[in-house]
Amino acid sequence: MTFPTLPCEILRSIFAFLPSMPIVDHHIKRSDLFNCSLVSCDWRAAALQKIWYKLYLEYIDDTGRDTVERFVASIVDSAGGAPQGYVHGFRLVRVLDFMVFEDTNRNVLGANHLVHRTSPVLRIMHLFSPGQIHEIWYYLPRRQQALLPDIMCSALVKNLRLFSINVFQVSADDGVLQRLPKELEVLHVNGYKVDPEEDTSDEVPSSLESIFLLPCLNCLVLREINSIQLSSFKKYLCNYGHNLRRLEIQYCLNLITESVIDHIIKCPNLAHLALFSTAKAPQRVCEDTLCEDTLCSLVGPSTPIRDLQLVQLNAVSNRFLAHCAAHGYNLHSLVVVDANDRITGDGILDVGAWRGMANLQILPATRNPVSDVTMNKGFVEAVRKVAGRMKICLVGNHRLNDTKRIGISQLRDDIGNEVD
Amino acid sequence: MSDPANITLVTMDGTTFTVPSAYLHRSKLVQDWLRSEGDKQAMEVKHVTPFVLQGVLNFCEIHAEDTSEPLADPADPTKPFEADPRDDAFRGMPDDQLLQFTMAADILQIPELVRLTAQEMASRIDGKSPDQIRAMFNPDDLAEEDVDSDNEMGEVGEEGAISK
Repeated sequence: MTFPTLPCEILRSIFAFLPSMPIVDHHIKRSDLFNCSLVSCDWRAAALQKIWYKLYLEYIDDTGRDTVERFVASIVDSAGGAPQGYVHGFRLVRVLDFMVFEDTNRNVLGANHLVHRTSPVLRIMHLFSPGQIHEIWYYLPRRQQALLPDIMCSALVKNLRLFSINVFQVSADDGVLQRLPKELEVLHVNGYKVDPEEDTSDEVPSSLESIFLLPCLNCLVLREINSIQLSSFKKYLCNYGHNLRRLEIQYCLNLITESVIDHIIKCPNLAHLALFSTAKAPQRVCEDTLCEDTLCSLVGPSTPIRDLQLVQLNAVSNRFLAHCAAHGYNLHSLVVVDANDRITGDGILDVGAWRGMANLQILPATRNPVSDVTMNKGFVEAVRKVAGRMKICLVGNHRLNDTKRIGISQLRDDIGNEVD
Repeated sequence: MSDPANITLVTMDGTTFTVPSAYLHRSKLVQDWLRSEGDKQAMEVKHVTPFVLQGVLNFCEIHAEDTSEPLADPADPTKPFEADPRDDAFRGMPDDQLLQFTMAADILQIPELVRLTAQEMASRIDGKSPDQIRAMFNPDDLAEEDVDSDNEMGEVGEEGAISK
């Protein structure tokens, strides 16, 4: 019987349904994709593209470190000695994910678990072709931040589109963030858990300011960084905000202000906005304290925002909710997590603007079901009438699109999954 | 000029099928043809047998009134795949027929059908050895040296695996 030869695009579609895993696991476990790579030349070419797409290097314990180092050493040896013209799977890597974990008590694992300067992992960074890597995800504990200059070589960042990093002590002199290409489209910068009572002024590197010189970002996620200069951020929004499609400011308390929102409103293409505060946020009121009227201006017929997440902002109350219910026709998704048990839906009976929404979540501040705020029954019933076509509709502790009453902890898990 | 409400397709052996154009609104190839050459009598679908085209048209008829957004990329991992009982006929067919339907879906550029057949092929690959897969779909052979290099790589970390 004659079988047609499947084109690469179809093979790619087939392999999309086979499980992904770290490269080394594909080899050790003889995964389905690995077996497909041994079927024929065409199948091999397509399977290797998926197997090698992401190089995931994780240092979590002795076993993990040894496995990674031996695997990487074998890559270094085989890729370095490969004959000219031979396409080693290593050449197909496009995403680099390099993580060295701390334990939950913030105590760095023992020295044996760390990456040494002689590690093959550092050598492999210099084997990538210029422009080969499109995405980099780095997570290094505090004491390993000194490695950053070594793993940010110019060939590695040449064609970078996405960069994610956690920052502790990168100094301006290292020039790590200054090496990012001007063409970078997506940037995630993660700091550390904000504690308003902790003096962290010396923790965040001054070189962080250089990210605001990147003109092409369409997605910017800033998380748990508390000392970005407000003026620099506003200047960035003025200069390059027109390129932003997605902006997330998570627990960067000094950036969630009246004047920043004024600048965000002027970003003409911003479709997704997430602002996360915390119940521990200082309650000081000043000239630049965010007020509810300004938040309301984010929602309306003339704003481009379709996906809005507001988590524990003090400025959000029933008035904002009423504004969204009446004017949020553009919204595809709205997630509001109450900051101080003020959101009940009182007086909101017209929710016609939410008729076309896919995801609506109005969640209480606390995880404790006992202290759950009672939502206004009229509001709940009004939302229930428009919830039929929504994928997710959670109001208080009511799931309204399948009429089941569920626990708060489940609701919080749901939103956690959504936010992730 | 052909009837704009219907479209006639001609298979590799000259068999013709006339169906409402609306059935094929998810076929990029047909839509492009209607825009550029819609005044012609019939559209040739080379490399597709009458049996396979009939099956593809059945799929299109079943899904003609679906209101879901068109699928841009059948391999898009962000779009969850939900099995539709109306498509059960595609799940019981022999391997060689499944392969031909996959090819026809690709030729006619119907991403929803590509995804359906690709998912079915993936489920048949699940847990099979390279030899078994080769027996099912019979592609060209692979060079010995490629197999050897991968086996060496697999021996690297057999004491433990990276988990994620």
